Amino acid sequence: MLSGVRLDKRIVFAGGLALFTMIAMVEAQPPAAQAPAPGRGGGRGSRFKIYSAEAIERGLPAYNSTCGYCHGERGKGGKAGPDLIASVVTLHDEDGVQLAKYVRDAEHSKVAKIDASDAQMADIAAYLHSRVIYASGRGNVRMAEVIVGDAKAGELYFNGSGGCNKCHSPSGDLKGIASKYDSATLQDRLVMPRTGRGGFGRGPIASNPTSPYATVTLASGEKIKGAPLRVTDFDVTLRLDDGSTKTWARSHGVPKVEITDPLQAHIDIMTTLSDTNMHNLAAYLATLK
Amino acid sequence: MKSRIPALFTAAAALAMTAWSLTLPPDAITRPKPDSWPTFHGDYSGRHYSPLKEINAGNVHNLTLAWVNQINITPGANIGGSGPAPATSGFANTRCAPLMVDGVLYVTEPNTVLALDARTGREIWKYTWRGLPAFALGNRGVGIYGDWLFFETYDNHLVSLDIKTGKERWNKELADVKRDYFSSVSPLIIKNHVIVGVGGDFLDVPNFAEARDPETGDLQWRFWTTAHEGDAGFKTWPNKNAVEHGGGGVWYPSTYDPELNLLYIPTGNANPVMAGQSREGDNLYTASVVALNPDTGKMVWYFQYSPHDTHDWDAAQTPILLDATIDGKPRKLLAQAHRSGLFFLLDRTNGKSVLTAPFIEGLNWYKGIAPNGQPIRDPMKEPQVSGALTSPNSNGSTGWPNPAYNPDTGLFYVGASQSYTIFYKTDTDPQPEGYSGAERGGGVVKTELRAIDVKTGKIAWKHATNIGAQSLLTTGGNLVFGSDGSGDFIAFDAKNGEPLWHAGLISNPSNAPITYMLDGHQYVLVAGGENLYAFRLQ
Repeated sequence: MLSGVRLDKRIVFAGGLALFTMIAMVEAQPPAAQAPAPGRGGGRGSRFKIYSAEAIERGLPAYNSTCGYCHGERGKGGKAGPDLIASVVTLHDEDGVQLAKYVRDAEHSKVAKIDASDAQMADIAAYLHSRVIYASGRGNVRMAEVIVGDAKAGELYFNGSGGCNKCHSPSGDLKGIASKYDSATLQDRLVMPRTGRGGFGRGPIASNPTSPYATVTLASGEKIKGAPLRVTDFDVTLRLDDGSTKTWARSHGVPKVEITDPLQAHIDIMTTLSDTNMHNLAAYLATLK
Repeated sequence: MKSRIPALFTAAAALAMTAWSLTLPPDAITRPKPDSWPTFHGDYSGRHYSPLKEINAGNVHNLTLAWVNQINITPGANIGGSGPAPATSGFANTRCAPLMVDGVLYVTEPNTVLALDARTGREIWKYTWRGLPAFALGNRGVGIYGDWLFFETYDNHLVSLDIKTGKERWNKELADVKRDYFSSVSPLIIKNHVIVGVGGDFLDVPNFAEARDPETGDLQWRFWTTAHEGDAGFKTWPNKNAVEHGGGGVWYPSTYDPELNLLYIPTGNANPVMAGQSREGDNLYTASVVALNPDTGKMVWYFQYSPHDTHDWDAAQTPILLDATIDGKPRKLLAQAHRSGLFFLLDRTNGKSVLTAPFIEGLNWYKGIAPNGQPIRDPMKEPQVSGALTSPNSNGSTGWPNPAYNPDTGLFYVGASQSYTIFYKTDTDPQPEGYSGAERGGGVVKTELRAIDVKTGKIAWKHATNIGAQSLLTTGGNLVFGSDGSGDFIAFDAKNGEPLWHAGLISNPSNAPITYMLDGHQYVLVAGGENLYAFRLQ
């Protein structure tokens, strides 16, 4: 288990009981050796070298047996060694070369002699670099832990003060909804079904009935409906039903432009919904498999 | 002896330079001349206000394009740094406030400094930095001390250039790019101090502001924005490890009061960003404004806007210095519209709250305002594994694009949005890392340009736009220059928000507009992505 590392006796004694605790911790840690999961990989920008999944997989057990005792679970730092994720040595390393040099030098050897080969050091480095990339990302929503509400209370809200049943039905449009979406998407969509930051699409009315549409009232009184491609104080452009676009210059609010959002009820809900009701509703929708 | 002659010559030359003929003597920033825009904010106050009124509400409809220039970031002759060769082409995306001194504009991109002829927009010289891969969203611009320019590269080097030629004088590494530090702030010159800062919130690094010697680049002092051991704020962190991973980026230009000799630095949010379990406590001095003595770096007071932040709501917005009469008494004030949706008015002599008020509807993340003016956070609105529906989202109710204050109207102008999101905590480990949280769903309900009466915190007027946070300029001509988020550069009536003039640009304004006199005429300058536009009356 600790075959790759010979520890300074002072640390072993100082560790005492902690030694067994740490061994157990290293043994019990989840299999973190995998390519960075989507959504947490790389942070903003590709500043980090990506190592092969195979090297990372080999790196986990090599890390555990060689480094984990002192540097803790997943390189986050332990009682006998610092964090290796935010480590200057790790961050300046490429392919394990600098890490190998560091652990073999006199200073590190004073506290722990490392016997790992160059190939093992390269694998350990691949694993640590995967952890750096993981740390720089945002992480994935823990889907199994999102549904925490009371489904019965959610159903009452759905049919009662929430007013959801005015537009939706569990046997109609929501039939099987829980099979269609993961738990977080289900919850996100009950708040605002339109996706994307800002949440307000600009597609043609016909192609997306939930998109907002605009009504332009001309001086003649004629009203023209279309998808609002652009609405400013100075002009308005609509995509009309026949696919063409039409632009009018505007001044001082003329011609008048009214935006109608078919999802206005969701906007109203979004601005008032409590977390309890959101979680209860999500729990209720999660029963509609 | 041989080596002393140049040194003596240099010293004599420097002495002569300080006596006359400097492009921008340091004390010229205290009272900027109308034919200059000598700092990111136009002066030390952060108001983005110019008393110029040749262009005014009565004639702004006659404003026309004087010139437009596509900013060319293809490397030229002046190249510094030792990283990979920069791309030979690419589009600029200008986020800086150009500085204008002696008929020359100084414009920056994350790895480029350009000197442009203010009369024509044509390039005079260009400097390119060859750096290492790093986060490079934008750069806020240069600082000028005498005949020397100062620029922070995206990979954390402070570069000093000769203002006439763009030749590098020296560069100094401020922070290790491999630790994912990045730099974007424009250096601020105060006396013989070059005030700089670094940011980074991906790998949980502690951040800092520094003063550097303008002649040598040597460190004068450093202020850690996460309170290190020995600082009174240290007790607001559970341990040293949390402090050393605590964030608090310095990625926004500071302001300065020469009479009080106080430097006001707005700081970034705490790290790990969205999971606070390893950093219980207020986490000073993150998401705060800190008032420092610029000669020593010693803190005189602080005010924290977002205690124990877990929503990515940094305080990287302008701490605007303004004077106003409150309850019959003249007061030295500091106003900041914070990313969390709250407007704060402080006494800038001591940091005490004068008022705190929301500047946008819908905020649901705090329980109330404490007697000291700080919000009382609602722990249930911190990111939850099961999700917390929160307003505003992580982009906030406003952001780094600068607000403006007009002393003629007493109004504080800010681009604002009402937004919602569901914050999910993704890392429940006792020692989370990085962001450790995600946001999904929700949306933006409205975006508006808003004018806040600083004395009451009430909204004096608002005007619907297609953009939330946006960079503004206000003038003695009763104007506010801003945009609608749809590519239009607009002059609004400063008193009521009515649009009086607009120009449709190729892309939406992307930087802080500036104004200055040149050859007897007032110019207004704005960038839209890669293009720079100069307007004047014809």
